[in-house]
Amino acid sequence: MRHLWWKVLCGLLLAYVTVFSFIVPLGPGVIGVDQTSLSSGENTVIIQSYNAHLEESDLQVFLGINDSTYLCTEVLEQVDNDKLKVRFTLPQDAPNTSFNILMNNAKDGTMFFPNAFRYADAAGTSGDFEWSSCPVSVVNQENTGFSIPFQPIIYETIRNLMFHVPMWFTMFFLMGIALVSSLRYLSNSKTEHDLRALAAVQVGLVFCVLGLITGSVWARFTWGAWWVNDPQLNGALVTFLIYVAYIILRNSIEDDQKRAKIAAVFNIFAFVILFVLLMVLPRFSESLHPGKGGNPAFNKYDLDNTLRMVFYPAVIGWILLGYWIYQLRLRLHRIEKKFYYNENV
Amino acid sequence: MKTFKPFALLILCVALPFLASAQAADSVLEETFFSSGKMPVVLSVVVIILVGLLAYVAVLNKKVNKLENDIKK
Amino acid sequence: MAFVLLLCITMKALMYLIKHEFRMEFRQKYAIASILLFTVSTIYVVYQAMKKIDDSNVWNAILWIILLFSAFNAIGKSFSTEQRSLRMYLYTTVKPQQFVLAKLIYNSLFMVVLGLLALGVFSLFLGDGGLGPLKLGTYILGVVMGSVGFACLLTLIAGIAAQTDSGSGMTAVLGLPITIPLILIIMRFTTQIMKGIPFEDNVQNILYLGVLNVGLIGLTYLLFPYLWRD
Repeated sequence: MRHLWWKVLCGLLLAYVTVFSFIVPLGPGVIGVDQTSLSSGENTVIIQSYNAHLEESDLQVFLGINDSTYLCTEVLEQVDNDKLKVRFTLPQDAPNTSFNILMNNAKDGTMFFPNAFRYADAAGTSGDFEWSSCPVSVVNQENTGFSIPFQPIIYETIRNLMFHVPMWFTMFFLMGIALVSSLRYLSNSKTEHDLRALAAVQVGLVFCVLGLITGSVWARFTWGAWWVNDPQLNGALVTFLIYVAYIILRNSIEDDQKRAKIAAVFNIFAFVILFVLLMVLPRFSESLHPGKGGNPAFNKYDLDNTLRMVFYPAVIGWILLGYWIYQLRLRLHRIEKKFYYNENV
Repeated sequence: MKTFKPFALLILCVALPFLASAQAADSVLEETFFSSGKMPVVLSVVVIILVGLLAYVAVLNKKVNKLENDIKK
Repeated sequence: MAFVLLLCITMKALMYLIKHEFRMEFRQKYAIASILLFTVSTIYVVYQAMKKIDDSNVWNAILWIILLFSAFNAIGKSFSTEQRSLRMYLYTTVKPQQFVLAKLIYNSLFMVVLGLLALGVFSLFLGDGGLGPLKLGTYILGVVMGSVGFACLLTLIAGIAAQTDSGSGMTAVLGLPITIPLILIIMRFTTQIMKGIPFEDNVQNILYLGVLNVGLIGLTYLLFPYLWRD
C-alpha cells in the first residue's frame, strides 16, 4: 500500500482532468460575420457568436476603430440561438480602415472579434478623420461565468491543452530519466542504469508518437495542414528520429556491456544537441505555437485561473502515468535479464 | 512477420495524411470536424491517446505472456 | 612550472598525433581520392540534372546538401580505416583525449579543404547563384564554420558507429537527425548572406554556430574515452 499512493493520485488527477476539461463550458465569443466589406451608408450584418447569451437585454454591440474610438450600432433582432442582426451607418468620406467588433453584456463580459470588416468604398483620406464616436461605458468587462477562455480559430480545441501538451511534458520527463540513467551508467557501469535508460526511452517514444499524431490532428483543424514548418514541430520530429536511432544503435551491438556503454554515450550526446534544438533555436525564429514569435493565442490567457486549475493537474497526472508505465517496462526488463541471462539486477 | 510490422505501421503513418487530404474527403472532414466549435477534434485527440496507450499496454501484455511461457518451460 | 611542462608534453603528443593522423590518411591515397571523387561526381550529377541554377535559395540548398553528404562520406570512414594492430598500439601509448583531439583537428582541416573545394567546383559548374564577389568572403566564412561543425559533430558519431556491428553505415542513421540543428543555423546564416543582409545583422548566427562547435568539441572530449577502451 505504501507504494500505491501515487498511482491512486495519478488515477484521480486524470479522472479530474478528463471530467473537468469536458464539463467546463467554453467562454462566449464571436466566430464570424456574414460579410467582410462594408460600404458607406447603412449596413446590416449578421454576427455569429458562440455560447453567448444574446437574449440578455443589456447586450450592446460596438464597432471598434482604435482603442478609444467606437461606433454605435443598433441591435435589430436575434436571428437564431447564436446569430444577431445589427445595423449601423458609416460616413461617406471616411478613411480606409478595419473595424473590430465588441459585444458586451453583464453575463458574458466583453467579446472581441478583431478585423471583422474592411471599408469597401473608402475615400482614402488622411487618418485624422473625425469619427462620431459613441459614448462607451463598459469595455473590457469581466466574464462572470465559470468557463474556459474563448480563442478565435481554436474554439473548443483549447481543451487539447490538457491532452496534447502533457504528452511532451511526459516525454521530456522520461528522456530526462534516460539522460540521468545514462550518466550514472557511465560512472558506475551497473546494468540497472542501462535498463532504466532503455525503458525510459521506449516509453518516452510512445508519448512522443502520441504527441506527434495528436498535434498533427490539432494542426489540421486550426492551421489547416497536417504538418507545418515550425520550430516546435521540427524539434518534435528530430526528437523522435534521434531516439529511434538510439533504439537502432542498441540493436546493432551484440555484446551487452559494450552496447550499454555506447548507447549511454550516444544518449548523452544526443540529449545535449536536442536541448540546443528545442530550447535555443525556437527563440530566434517565428512559430505558429501560442505565446511564441508574436502569436496571439494563449499568452494573454496563460494566467487564466480556470485553465490553470485543470492544466497543472493534467501535466502532473500524465507524467505520473508515464512514470508508471516506465516502471512496468523496467520491471519487465529486469525479469527478462534475470531469466534469460541469469544476471541479478 | 516480426520485421514486417513496424514497416507496415510506418507506411500507414506516412500514407494516412495523404489519404485523408485527398480532395473528395476534404469537405467531409471539414464538415465533421468543424461542427459544434471543433469539439470532434478534441474527442479524436483523446481517443488517439487512449488507443495509443492501450496498444502499448497490449504490447507489454504480450511480452509478459511470452516470458511466462518461457518460465513455465 | 610543472603544469607548463605537462602542457608542453601534451602539446607535443598532440602534434605528434596530428602528424600521425596526416601520415596515416595520406598513405592511403585511394581513400582521400575516393572522397574527392564522391564530392566532385555528385556535383557533376547535379550539373547534369540542373545545368545552371539561378535561384539563389536552390543554389544554396543544393550546395549544403552536397556538403552534408560529403561530410558523412568523409568522416564516416575516419575510424574504420585504422588497422586493428595499430589501434592496440595506440591504446597503450596515448590518452584517448589526445587521440580524439587529433582526430577532431584533422577532420576539421580536411572538411574545410573539402568544403572550399566543393564550393569552388560547384560554382565552376553551376554558376555562383547570384553570390557575387562581394558576399563571397562571408560565404566562405560560413562554409568554413559549417565544415568545422560537421567535423565536430560527426567525429564522435563515427566513433560510435565504428563500434557497432554494422560499421560505418551506422553513421548516417545516427548522424542525420543530429545534424539538423547545425543545418538550421548554417542555412539561416547563408540564406541571409544570399539575401544581402549586412554582416552585422547576421553575425549572431555564426556566433551561435561557434558556441555550438565549442560545446560539441567539449562533449566529444569528455565522452570519447568511454568509447575507446572495452
